[in-house]
Amino acid sequence: MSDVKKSVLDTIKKEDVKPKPKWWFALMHALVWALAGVSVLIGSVAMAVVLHEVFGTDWVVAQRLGRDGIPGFLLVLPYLWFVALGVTLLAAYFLYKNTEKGYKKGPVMIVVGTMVISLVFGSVLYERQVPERVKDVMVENLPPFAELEMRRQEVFMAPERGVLVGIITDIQGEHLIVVNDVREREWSVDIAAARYGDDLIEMEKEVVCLGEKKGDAGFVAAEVRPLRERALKRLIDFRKKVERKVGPGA
Amino acid sequence: MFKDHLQKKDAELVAEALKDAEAFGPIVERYEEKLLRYVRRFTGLSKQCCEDVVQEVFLKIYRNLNGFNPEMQFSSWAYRIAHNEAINYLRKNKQNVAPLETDDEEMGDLLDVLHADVDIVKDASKGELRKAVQEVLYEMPVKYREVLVLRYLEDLDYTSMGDVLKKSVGTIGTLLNRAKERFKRTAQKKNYSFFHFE
Repeated sequence: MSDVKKSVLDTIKKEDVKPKPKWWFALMHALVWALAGVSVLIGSVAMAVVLHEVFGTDWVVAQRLGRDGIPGFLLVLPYLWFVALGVTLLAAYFLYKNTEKGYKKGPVMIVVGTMVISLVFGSVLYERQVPERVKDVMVENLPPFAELEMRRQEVFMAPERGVLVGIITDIQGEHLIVVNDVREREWSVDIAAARYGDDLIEMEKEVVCLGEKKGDAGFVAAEVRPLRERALKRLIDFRKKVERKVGPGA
Repeated sequence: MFKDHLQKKDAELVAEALKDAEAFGPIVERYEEKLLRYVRRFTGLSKQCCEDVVQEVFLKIYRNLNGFNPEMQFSSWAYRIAHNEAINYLRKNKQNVAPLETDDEEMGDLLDVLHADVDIVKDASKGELRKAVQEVLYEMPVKYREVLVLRYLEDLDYTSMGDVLKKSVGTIGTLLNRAKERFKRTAQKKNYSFFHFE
């Protein structure tokens, strides 16, 4: 009998070494799969929020909001969700690689596969308006997130940079409308030289006025654009929730 | 009895060892030499250290017998555990891997393979060449050395190498190409006059 064989069999006997039970391995495999599944699920939620932010942003308006040499679109990108998406996809990738046969697939295939799954599930969640509910829950429970969201949204509330978002509360003749902004502040908007679509200048319509601020509460619009359906109402509700958590914004 | 074990497949031996620890002996017999040779080639450790590593490898194999997936070759699974254990040993002991003063005949196999990519001067003695190959091999990063050893010294195919290193076949191919390139560059740096590179 060789030294190694003798020593191995002696150790097994002396130390009463036993093979780990089958269920232990089954449990470990199940755990890895479950964690990979959870990562993909969280990644899908993050993907849904990214879609919500990307499709819910008026990029033409965002372009006008640049400051200090930073292009406007960079100020409103949902970075937090990009990071969340990246982290969860990375976790899903490593967990999948650690499944029993996961290593047989190449890294590119795993990454692309994970992204496609997240995109498919994310689109379904986006369609079912899960992102709004997720953000509501996070605002309720995570004050730093609420603060971050508030800051992102404030980028859009910038009459001094030529963007006024609000709801039409009065129409005073053909050239003047009154718009209440997100902070429920009243603005007189001159639309004499503004471009706007048919049926836009009506009471209770939510609009974005692009133009120039005049005085404390005046605005001369060059263009009036419609806001997504009830977007302002949702924004106001959202702000109220955030303010309850982190106090009034700027 | 002995002949009986020789004829049995690995999966049968595993099933028997799960019922009776003594039946693990034939598995050790079957793989002891292979794993010792692999660990020695991969790590360059002394005979005693390699035996310690391999002993631990067999204990790990025994503890994890229920985790062996019969869809995979038992040898690949055993190599995988040996590979991981060898890496752990090197990390724990932070030992510099020094080329062994042995005339490993199989180093010639690596030379035969390298002939395809590298011109080797005919008047160099086999002993000199083997020593040079060993020196170059042990100077290379582990990730390259491991693929060269598995492919050219242990003679594993890409699929088995993938099972041992837990990498896809495509990744193994890429690693092997890089490892060969690295081997050539390392040999060039060391100015081995009997290797000619284009």
